Amino acid sequence: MTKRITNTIRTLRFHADEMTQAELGKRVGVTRQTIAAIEKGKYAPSLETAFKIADVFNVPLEAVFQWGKG
Amino acid sequence: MAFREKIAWLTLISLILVYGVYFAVLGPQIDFGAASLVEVLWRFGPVAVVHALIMIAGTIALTIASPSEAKAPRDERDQAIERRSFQVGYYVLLIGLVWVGLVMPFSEPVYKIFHAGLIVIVASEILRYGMIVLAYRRG
Repeated sequence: MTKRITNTIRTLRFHADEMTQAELGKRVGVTRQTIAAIEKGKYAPSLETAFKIADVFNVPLEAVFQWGKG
Repeated sequence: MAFREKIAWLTLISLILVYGVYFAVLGPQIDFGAASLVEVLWRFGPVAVVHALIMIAGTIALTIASPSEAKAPRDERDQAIERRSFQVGYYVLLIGLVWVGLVMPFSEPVYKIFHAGLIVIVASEILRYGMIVLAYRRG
């Protein structure tokens, strides 16, 4: 099976009082649609945006994004 | 649907409709053997103006519908989509114009070169905006 970038953004949003995609997007400087695309694994964000997302949830980068079997 | 995707749809549909009418109906009516450049431009000019008016009116309407999205700068995904689409459109434009400008003059009459040039420009734009729409649809 090919490896790909997976993420836990949906879970992290749930644990952050069900933060909306729009709110997360606003805090990292991208649109709601871009957050939706990242969540679904359709778009791989830049390293800077990845770090910003981790920063919003106050977790290390590897808690948000993983390199593994999708 | 994102504001920039809506703009891409508007551009794509208006390009297909307006220039479709030109190439299917208005263009063939031009008497290229007798018509001067001014007469040819007189036929083509209104088509370009209609396209511009559709884009202006559509952009204003979409901006009024979602002003905050319209004001927001392009994010990194928007830029990546535009970059990839521009690249594809550019190669089609380049290859097409090399054919029109460097090959066709040796074998084709002026009116065919004129229309082939227009077709290449419009086709590259349709391809570019088609790619943008497809990229947004994919997610």
